[in-house]
Amino acid sequence: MTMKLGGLSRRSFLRTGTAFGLAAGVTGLKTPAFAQSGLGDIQAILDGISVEGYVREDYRKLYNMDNTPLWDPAKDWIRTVDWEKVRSELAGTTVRFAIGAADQESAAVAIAPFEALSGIKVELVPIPDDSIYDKAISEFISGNASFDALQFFSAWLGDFAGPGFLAPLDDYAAKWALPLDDFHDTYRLNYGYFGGKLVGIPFDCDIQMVHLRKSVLEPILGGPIDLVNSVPTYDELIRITAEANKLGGGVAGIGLLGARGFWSTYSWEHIAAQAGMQLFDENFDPLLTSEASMKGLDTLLALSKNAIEGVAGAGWGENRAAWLGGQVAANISWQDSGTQAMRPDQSQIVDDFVTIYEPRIAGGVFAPPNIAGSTSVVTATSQNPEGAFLMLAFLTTSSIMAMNEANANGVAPGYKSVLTNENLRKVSQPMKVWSDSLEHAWCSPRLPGMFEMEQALGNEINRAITGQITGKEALENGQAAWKAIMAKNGFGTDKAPVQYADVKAGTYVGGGKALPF
Amino acid sequence: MAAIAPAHRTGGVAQAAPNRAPRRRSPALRKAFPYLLVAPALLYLMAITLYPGAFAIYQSLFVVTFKGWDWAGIDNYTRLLGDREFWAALGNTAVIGGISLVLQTVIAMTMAYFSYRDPMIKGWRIVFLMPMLFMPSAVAFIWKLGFNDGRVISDILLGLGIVSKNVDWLGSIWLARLTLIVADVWQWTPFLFIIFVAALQGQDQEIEEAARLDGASWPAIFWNISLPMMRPIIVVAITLRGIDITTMFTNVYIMTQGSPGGATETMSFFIYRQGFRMFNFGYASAASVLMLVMTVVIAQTVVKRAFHSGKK
Repeated sequence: MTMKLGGLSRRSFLRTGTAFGLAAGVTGLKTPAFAQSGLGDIQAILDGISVEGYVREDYRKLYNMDNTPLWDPAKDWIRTVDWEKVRSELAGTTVRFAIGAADQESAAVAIAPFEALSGIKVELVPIPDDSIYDKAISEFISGNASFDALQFFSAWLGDFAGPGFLAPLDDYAAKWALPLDDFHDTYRLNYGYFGGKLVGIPFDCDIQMVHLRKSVLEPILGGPIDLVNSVPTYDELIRITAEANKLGGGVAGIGLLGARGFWSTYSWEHIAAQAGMQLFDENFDPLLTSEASMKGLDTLLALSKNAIEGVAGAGWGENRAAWLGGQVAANISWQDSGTQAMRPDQSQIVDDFVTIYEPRIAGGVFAPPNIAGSTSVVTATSQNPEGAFLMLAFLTTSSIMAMNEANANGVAPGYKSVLTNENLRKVSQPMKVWSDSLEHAWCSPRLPGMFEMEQALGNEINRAITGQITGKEALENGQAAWKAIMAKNGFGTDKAPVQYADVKAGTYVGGGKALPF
Repeated sequence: MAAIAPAHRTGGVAQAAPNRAPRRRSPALRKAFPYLLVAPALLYLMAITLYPGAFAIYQSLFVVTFKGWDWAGIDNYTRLLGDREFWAALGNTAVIGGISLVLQTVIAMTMAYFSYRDPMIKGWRIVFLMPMLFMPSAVAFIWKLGFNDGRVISDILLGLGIVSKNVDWLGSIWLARLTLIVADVWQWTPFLFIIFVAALQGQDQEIEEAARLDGASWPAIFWNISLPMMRPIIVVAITLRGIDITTMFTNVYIMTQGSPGGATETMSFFIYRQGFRMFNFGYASAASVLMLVMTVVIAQTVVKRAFHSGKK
């Protein structure tokens, strides 16, 4: 049988097609060289990555920002890397970047200059925000992930790195001189390293802080709020929020994260860390029932009595809305609550709040908590790991991170050089306290199963917050759950996925350092 | 097929072909023909229902970790039977769903009985139906705003002097359950209402008229005539709604997340939490299987008993 395709016989069609394919295949080897020829001027592209180009116009006007950098150009990776070398080695290649669907558009805008600088094409793989974990896990387990790079909640790092789903990045970091030392230790160690290997580049670098409303609390405190001394302890915070709670007027004493799951755990970790709590001993036995753990939970339960109604269901969204809407006198939340509250388009409490140094607990330590955050990784099965690494290095470079902070979009920088930038501090109220605090940060280790453990404990703490069980019972139940989950993940056997020595340094970075106040 | 083949070939006009014997299929093909006809539907059903169901049963026999699947036999099931949270979720589903279903039935029946004779019912039926037509997640968000985030209902109650301070709807077990019940009743009562109206309108009016002429009061007519005649329809409607309530998820996910302390965690949310927050996929599958079995058994029993006693 002879099939005719527009006058072309099947045989001649196949013959012509094969010849064309071979020719295309051979010339395809030269694609990077072709791709380079159409790339723009590097300096012009870099000049475009500026305050005027990236920071919202209304915020620039509001804070009289000119085009002065909000970062140190000498430490801005995109301005130090050799883009000609990048182009010569990787132009024409493709990177597939998995990202939450909600961030797809903004990522596309941020990716455009990277493509122009590097010649690397980036394909965004949008994943519904609620299913990033499941999607990533299922693709990792299949051994054939359809993406090269991924940005995700840092609490999952152990789950992804433990089974070997992530590519080691040490060699690329050395080759392309990623300024890892500029990251605060707490981010570098906890969002970057697993088992002594670099597997992630910190992305959204979070810390939890305490924020106070001046108009409500200054009358109670008897004068202007001092960042260190006005609320030196959690006992004082309990007292003033109880007073504030009695005032009425639609303003409750305090907002905090009290919902089931990891939200409640985060609030407990935040406070218990100030009591000197560590989650594990050197054998990875959980220490949830220690005296410091109990003190932390007692404090949380006392604060929850002064909290806004609905606190038992409050996650980040509910808490943020209550704080920015002026419904609470104090708030325990992330640092961006202190940045976004400055922005008139996001907040009803502009100029009426301040972020203070972490209140202390007798017998404890000053240990502001690095909680949640996100990191970015390259998959072990990536077809273009180096290109993926460069893309992530671009997205996390200090200039872009500084401008994220100026835009108050919730993506926080973790670079020392950015957090000490005086120009940026003018547009980010909590930054001075935040930066000082990071030198003493506490952090839970990113272990396989840690996310599940924090969920299980949070469910118990939530029951304690709502009076269904005592705090002691909550921690005991949590301890039992943690032991079971850790056993399931291989802890306590000779096949433990990570050694305590590998995570210990990241759990508290403030040892032996002088207090910032 | 053979019989219609000539008509098909001639463009639909049946023309006699006296010299041609009708084509006959082989016995095997004739036997297979009915199965071939239902095959597409069966394949579709298998793909979207049977395969996932069978997969869930299979998965429930394993401990699923990121490194692989480890055989667990019935361990997931025995663990479930000893799991306080599982029983709590089951109890919550029964309490929240049961109260909600009773309220919906009573309200829908009352509204239906007093309105089904209204000649304008067809016109304003759509008004009753509207809550059911809204997107469930949007409805849940609105109720969440009303009860918690926006304090709307608290403000109304304060304004009316019913309460003296803002109500913490998530601070108490029964208040939190009440929020879910209110949201569910508001959205799904119209479903029962519309069925009950149709059932009442379909009844033989002469029986009712005869009872009235005999001097029966309207409650007596309703209780002794209308209600028994509607029994099969009520049972089917309640069964459908009951099955739907058993899988209540959206409102819990959006409004309470199971708070306070798991007091509003339904079975569906428990399964979701085990599967997608705790990543115990085998355990979640076992819970799904148990839930399916229980739902089927209860639904079957209710329907069977109702219809059986109806025959009596």
